Amino acid sequence: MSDRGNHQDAMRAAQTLAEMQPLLRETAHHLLSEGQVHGVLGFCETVTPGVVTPCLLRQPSECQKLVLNTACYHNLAGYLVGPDGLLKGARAERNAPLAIVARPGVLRTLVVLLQEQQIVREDIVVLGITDNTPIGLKPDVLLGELDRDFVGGSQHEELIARLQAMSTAERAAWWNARFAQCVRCYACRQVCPLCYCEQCVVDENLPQWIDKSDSVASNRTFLLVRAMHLMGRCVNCGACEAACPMHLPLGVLTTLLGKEVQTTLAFVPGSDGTQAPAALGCRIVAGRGEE
Amino acid sequence: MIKSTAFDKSFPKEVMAEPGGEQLVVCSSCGTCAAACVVRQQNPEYNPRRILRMAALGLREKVLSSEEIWQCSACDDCYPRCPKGIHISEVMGAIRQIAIREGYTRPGATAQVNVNRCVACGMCAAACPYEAIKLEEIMIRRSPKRVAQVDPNLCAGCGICNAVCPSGSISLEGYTDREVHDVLLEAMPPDWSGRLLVIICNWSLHAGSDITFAENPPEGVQVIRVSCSGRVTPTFVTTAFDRGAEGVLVVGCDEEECHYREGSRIASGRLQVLGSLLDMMGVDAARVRFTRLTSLDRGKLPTMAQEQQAQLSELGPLDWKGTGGRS
Repeated sequence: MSDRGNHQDAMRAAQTLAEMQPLLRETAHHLLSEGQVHGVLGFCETVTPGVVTPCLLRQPSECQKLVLNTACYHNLAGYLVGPDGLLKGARAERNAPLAIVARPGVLRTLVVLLQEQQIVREDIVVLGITDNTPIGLKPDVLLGELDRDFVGGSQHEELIARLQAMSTAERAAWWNARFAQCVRCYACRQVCPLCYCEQCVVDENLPQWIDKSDSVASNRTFLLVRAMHLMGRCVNCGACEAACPMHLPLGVLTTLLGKEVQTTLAFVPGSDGTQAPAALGCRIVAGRGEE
Repeated sequence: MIKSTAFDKSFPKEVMAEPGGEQLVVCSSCGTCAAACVVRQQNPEYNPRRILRMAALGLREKVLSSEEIWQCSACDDCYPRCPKGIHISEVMGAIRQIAIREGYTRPGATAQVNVNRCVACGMCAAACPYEAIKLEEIMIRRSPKRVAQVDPNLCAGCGICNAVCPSGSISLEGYTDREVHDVLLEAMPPDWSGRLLVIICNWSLHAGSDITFAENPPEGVQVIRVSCSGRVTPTFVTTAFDRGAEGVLVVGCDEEECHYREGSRIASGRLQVLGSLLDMMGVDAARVRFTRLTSLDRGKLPTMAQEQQAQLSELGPLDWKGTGGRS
C-alpha cells in the first residue's frame, strides 16, 4: 500500500463505529479540558460485557470510558427535554453548552426538538454520525458516516410488505396476538424524546380516553394514539422498539407513520431544519388525503 | 329610523385608515357577500353587507358594539364573489381593530390555555388558521415559563388547536375534551346497539333535512356535532369503537368553503393517516371515513350515512376487542 493510499484512508470519514470511538474520546477530552462544554452525554461500558449505559461525563479524565457500538441505540436526546431535562433551568447557571453523541436518528430528533423550540442550538455541541439520509442539522463534530443507522429507520420493510399482503382478518389476528402481550409499562413513551409532555393523555382520568386495563382494545388504542401524537414528528429513531420489554414490533407502526406523513404531508421529520414543524398534520399539502 | 345626525362622518375615514379597511370606499352594497356568507346560513341576523353599509354611513357606536363584527371567520367565501373585489374579512378585521382599541372584546367561546400543563411545543400556534396563538414567557409561581397564549380577539373558536395539542393543555370552551367525551358517552351508552357514529361539523349543516337527520338519527346511527371537523381527534374514533360502533363517518365542509379556513383540510389528512394505521392493525380503513357535505350537497347527509352503513354491512362485524367475535 502506497503512502498516498494511507493518506486517503486517513482523510475519509470513519465508516464503522469502532473507527469512530477513538475520535469520540479524543474530541470529548478536548472539549471538556478546554472548557468548551460543561458535560458530554454519551455511552459508557457497564460491568456486564456488551451492555452500555447512557452517561454524563464532566471530567476530561473520564473520557476513556466512552464507547461507541451497536448497543448505543438509546436516544440520548430524551435527556435534554421534559421536566427533568438536562437543559432545563436558568441558562445562566451553565456557562458552557452540553455535548451530545448523536447517531443519525438522534440527529433528526434534535432537528425536531429545535423546531419545536424545546432546545436551543447554542446549548448543545453535537458529536454526530450521519448516514445517507437527509438530516436537517450539521454536526459540530462529525464522528463518521455510516451506510445506514444501526437502529430504527426502515428496518421493517420486509415485515410491512408481508403484513400488507395479508387479509385484514389475518392482520388483525397477527396484531391482536401482539397487542395482548403489551403490559402497558409505557417504556416506549418514557424513552421517546418527543413524548416530553408533562401530563400524558394516557395518565388522564378526566376524561379517560384510553382504558388503563391492558386489554387488546385499550393497548391498540394506546399505541394508535401515541403514534398519532407523533404524526409529522416521529423520526423513526427506533428507541421505542428497542425499549419494549415485550419486543413488540413498534417500528412497523413508526415506519408506516413516516411513510403516510411523507405521502400526505410531503414532509420527512428531521430532514430539513428550515421547514416549519408539521404540527401533527396541520401542514397538509392541498388536495392530498382525499378519500 | 336612523337620523342623519347620528352619523359620524369621520368613522368611514377611521376604518379606511386601518390596513385592509381602505376597501370600504368601493362597496356598492349589492349584497352578493351576504348571499355567499356561511355564517349567514346559520345565523340569518348576520349580514356583512349591512355592516359595511353602516360603517360607510358612519354609525360608529352601532358598528363597534355589534356582535356581528366578530362573527366573520374569514373563510373568504364572499371574497371571490364580490364584484368590486373587496376582501370583506380584511375590512371586518379593520373594524375589529378599532373596536379592540375602544375596549370591546370578542363575545363567545375562545380557546383557553392550561398554563400548568402547557409544554410550549408550538403545535397549536402552527395549526391556528388565525395566528391567534403565540408562545410567550409568563411568570407562574414566581418562575418564568414559556407557554401558549391566545389572543381572544383573533381566536375564531374553531378548536383546531384543541385537537392538535398532544398534552391536552388548550381547549375550546363548549368543545373541551371533557365536554366532547361526555357527549360521546351520552350518545353511545353502554347498552347502545348501533353501528355508526357520525361526527359532523356545525357549519356543514345547512339543509333542514340534514339538521333533522342530525337531531333525530335513525336506528343504529348516532350523530354528534363539533365546532369544526378539524376538532376531531383519533380518540373520538377509538371511543366510538370502544362503545361498540363499527364505523365512524366524519363530515366536514368543502375545502374551499371551510368556515375556519383549514379545518376540513386538516381533518381529511389526519383521518387518512389514522385510517392507514388502523388498516395496518387489522381494522379496515373504510370504517373511518371522512366526507364533505358541501353547499351543493344539501340534504345528502342521510344518503351519506346510509352509504357508510352499507359499507359496514359489507365489511361485516368489527372485532375491536380482539376476542374473535363481538362480546
